[in-house]
Amino acid sequence: MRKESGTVPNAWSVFRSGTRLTTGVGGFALAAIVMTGAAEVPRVLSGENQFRRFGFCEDGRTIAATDGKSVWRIDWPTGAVRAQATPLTIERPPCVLRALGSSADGKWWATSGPGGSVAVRDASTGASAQTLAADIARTNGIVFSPDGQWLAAGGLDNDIHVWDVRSWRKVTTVSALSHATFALAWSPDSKRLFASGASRTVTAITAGTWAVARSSAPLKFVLTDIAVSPDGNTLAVAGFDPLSSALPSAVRFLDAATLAELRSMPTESSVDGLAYSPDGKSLLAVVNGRKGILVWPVE
Amino acid sequence: MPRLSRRDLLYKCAATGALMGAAPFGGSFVEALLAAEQAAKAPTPKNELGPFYRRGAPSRATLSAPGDPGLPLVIAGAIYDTRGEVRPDATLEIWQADHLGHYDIEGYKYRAMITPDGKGAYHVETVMPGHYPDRVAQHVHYLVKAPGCKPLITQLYFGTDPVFEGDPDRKYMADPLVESRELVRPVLLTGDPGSPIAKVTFELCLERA
Repeated sequence: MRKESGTVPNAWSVFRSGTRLTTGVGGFALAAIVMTGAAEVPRVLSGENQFRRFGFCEDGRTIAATDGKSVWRIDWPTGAVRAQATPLTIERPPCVLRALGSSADGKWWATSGPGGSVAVRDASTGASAQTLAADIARTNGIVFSPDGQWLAAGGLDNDIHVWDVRSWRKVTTVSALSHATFALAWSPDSKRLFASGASRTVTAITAGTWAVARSSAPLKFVLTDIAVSPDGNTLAVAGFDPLSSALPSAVRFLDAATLAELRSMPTESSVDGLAYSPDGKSLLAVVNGRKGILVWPVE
Repeated sequence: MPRLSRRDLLYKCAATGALMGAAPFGGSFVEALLAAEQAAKAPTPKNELGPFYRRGAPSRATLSAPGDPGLPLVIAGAIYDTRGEVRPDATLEIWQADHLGHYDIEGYKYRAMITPDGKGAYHVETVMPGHYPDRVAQHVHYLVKAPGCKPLITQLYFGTDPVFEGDPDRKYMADPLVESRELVRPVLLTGDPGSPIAKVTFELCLERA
């Protein structure tokens, strides 16, 4: 059972809430999706494991996925498991995982720290490098900008914090939002920071001025995941239904420039993790109650 | 060897000047120290902030609107710090689900900013929150701040909640997020039998920074 709140102090977790919806019938859940009118069954990678989070390693050929205890390294795109799973550790990432708190150069690994802080470690040694004060309760969505200049973290107290990586000086606290942030993602050119959370919207923040550029219309779900397409043109977002009102779960695609919704892709249950493949031709997701990583082709 | 009480030990230290360097000091200081110690309070246990905190809640003491469904609920208490001093300068933010367990994440229904009176007392009129989906126990969220104190993030639970099966002393952990029995408060039903009102006292104590 998922809880309304909880503390899992590492970047592999994301704040979760809501109700588990359909988890399949007879041990096999048909993950029917509808995109541009056609139903598709996603390909499943490593279908023996119930993953909670995953991300692409910087080499673009490896997926690191965890069930909360162990880490698997999965070959992309074959889906072959490369080696025996290793224990999950908070000190070091299994590879350079930019979507989950690694700096692009692989030097730093930032995770949610105690007391709402951000803990920055030397990614190679695991040694603590910085403890950055941030949220009054808990930080979420900790991500370095692709150009290596900024580190951003959202949190439950509605603020978003940005630090200059060269000095670890706090650059700004974005306090224009009035909901908890669960996910942050940068545009590939590091010029936009996208935030989502309990507001059910996606908000684009301009790097440098740190002003809110625009927000999407409210979507149906509290948004816990954002993935930016490699070309920077599209966002995929997903989350959970806060009212458990049996609304169908879905991944929604937004135009990254306008934040207008382009289309949606129903999923059998709420999504616990999202990523575009490095070539942008596939969307990968972990779906609650479903084993493996699901892969859909996208245009 | 006779065992010294804390009071005896303090007097003994005062007599020998051992408590603070070599300077001797009289009983009045020790009395003040003891009084302060007796007045000291344990901080209210912390609890999760939860995903639905929203800043900017309106200042008001009544969270429910006339005619709102649900059991009327009055929560009252006072705010102290760990020195036992009342804190009229505190601010409380309170938020909860409605009687069906739904949070208003678009607006500010069942959300309020509250300023205590000159004696540090506060009073809230609302309805008993419902059971939020996937969360076991009924609860009200608190974020309390005061100058010189650490922010207190906690939640209030209700001894009458069916999940505690009438025995919150033993069953309070039925909700794994209820980490302290102290946060489960007794509920007093008052008013007419046909239109009862639930009353709960929830005193808050802030840890000094």
